[in-house]
Amino acid sequence: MKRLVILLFATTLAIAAIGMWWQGQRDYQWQIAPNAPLPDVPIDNPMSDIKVELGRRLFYDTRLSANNTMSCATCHIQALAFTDGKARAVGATGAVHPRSSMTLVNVAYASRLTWANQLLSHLEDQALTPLFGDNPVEMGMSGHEEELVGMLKADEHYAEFLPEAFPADEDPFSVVNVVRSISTFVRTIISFDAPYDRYLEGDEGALSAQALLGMELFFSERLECFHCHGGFNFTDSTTHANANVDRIGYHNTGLYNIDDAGAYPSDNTGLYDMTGQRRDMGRFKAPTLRNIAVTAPYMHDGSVLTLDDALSHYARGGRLLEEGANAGDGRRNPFKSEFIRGFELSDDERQALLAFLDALTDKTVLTDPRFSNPH
Amino acid sequence: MRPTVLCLLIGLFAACGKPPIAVSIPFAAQFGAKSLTCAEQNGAIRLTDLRFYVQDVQLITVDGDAVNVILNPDDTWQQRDLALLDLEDGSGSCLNGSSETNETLRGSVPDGEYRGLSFTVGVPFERNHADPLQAKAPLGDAAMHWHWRAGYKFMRAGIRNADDGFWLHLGSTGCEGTVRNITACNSENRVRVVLTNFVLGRDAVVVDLAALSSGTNLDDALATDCSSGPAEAACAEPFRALGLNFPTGESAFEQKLFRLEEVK
Repeated sequence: MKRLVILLFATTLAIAAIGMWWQGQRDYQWQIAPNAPLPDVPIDNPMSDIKVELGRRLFYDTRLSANNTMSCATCHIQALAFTDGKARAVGATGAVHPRSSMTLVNVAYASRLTWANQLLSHLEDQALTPLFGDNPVEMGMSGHEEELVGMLKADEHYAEFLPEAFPADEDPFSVVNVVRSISTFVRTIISFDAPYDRYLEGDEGALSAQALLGMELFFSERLECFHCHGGFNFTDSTTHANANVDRIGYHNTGLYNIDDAGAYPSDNTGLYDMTGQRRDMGRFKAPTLRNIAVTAPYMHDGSVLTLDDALSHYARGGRLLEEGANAGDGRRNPFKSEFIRGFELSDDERQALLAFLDALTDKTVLTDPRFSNPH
Repeated sequence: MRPTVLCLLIGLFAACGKPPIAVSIPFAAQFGAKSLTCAEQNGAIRLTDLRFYVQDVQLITVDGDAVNVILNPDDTWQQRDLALLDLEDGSGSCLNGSSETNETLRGSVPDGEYRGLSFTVGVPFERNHADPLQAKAPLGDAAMHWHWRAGYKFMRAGIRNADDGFWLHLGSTGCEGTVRNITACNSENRVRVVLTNFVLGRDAVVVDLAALSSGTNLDDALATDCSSGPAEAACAEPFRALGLNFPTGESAFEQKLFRLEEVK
């Protein structure tokens, strides 16, 4: 009898705990368009307003780098859709990253993170690389974990709100709660207020005639853009809370062909660096095109300076580099995606496409004080 | 209660007999015959990093049987079956390191006569791919975790002279699944080391970075590095020195990095 009572009690507790968690998930008020899909949030890091605010402070806190010179926001600037305007990111000690900082807008919907890493699906895991990675050094915190924890305890705001945000933790002052908070904040950086979105919601005046022509071209089989940059987030590596398929896309777009056998520069071979399979040479994730007009320069290595140049690259069906160490005709890259076939584009059509891409810029997300520096 | 009485009482014959003996296995960094430290020396080779995990440490009896060394668990360097050796002290050219060092494996084996040592450079699969933020020492070290490769750096090793250098980060690559849910890795890149004739108390294990960098030109002013990527051509030679086929990571050659030398 006593056992039964204990069992019943334990079961009730468990159900109550699950119920509270579920309630917590549902209670969180996403400030996004009513018809937008909800992001997929890890079970062990549910959303909460207090974590969002903590994460925002941490995101903009330069004490998260070993020499106190950079924060997450150094490479992810709100006005540039959380990119940095550089071809390649630069770490706290001046080390240059082989790749370009990616936008964080709508990253909550990314099924895989970074330019080419099929292993990374959660922001909590990804955040550890910029914080602690040493090849290259980004924020350089490896070996400074104790200082970081000491800073959290000494800071008035963190000392007050970390225990409140993580009430179940015996010791809430931890690296894991730093990455959980930052990830929670970053998940709220959501964009569904571009002219394109307003047009979809019935505001016919939101897109100019030129942008509408560009939209038609964008979604045409002639240009093929939407095969990789499709869906509500303009990338085929997209997921959300109700998604039942793990959609991941990596594509070689013919940017390089150094040896005429498909090679990309050795510090940037894309998925090939992870898998060692030749077919993965030069395959990178198609980034979202939301806010693309403010995130120049383009591609994983920032080697395409303008959107106009990007269109020329796709129109040619691959880039020709006539000289230099990376010389080669990308159009002939044997690993190139079947959708990069090239197309003819009149000047009017080119301007129309650019107008459509411009209509993906959401000024709200670029200026919303919820995402700005709180310090 | 004395161990012998306990043995008789519970009939654990295997555990009966002599009590276990403490073992201490020292490691030392060298470049060929010379010892290697982080200290800056005029143009000479110096250490930039040398840290590595070892698992499956065994002593080999005179009869050729392998016996597990049970490592003394502590809160810093050792679990019962896993240890982090750290032969750099963060000074001089060891810019990524820390002042703490750990140059000795400490554990115990059943009393007996031993003439050999074996171990694996690596971290057991389950622990290698678990959440590093929840890991117990010595797996809580952020410098040893390879966040974007979803496992640990089994070894960080590096040397440099005045204007040239070489470094290696060894770990599993070509993994499948997602971080914290890795199911398999195409190239596990664990290094099995067998050192016959090892005598407890007499021998130290020399980690000879000259062997690791023998295929690398250290005078072309081009720092060479290998971070185990299956696409990195510069990994072929150091992998060979580790006895590994590149890029499959299978054991294919005799490893040259570890050898024995009598303690001076």
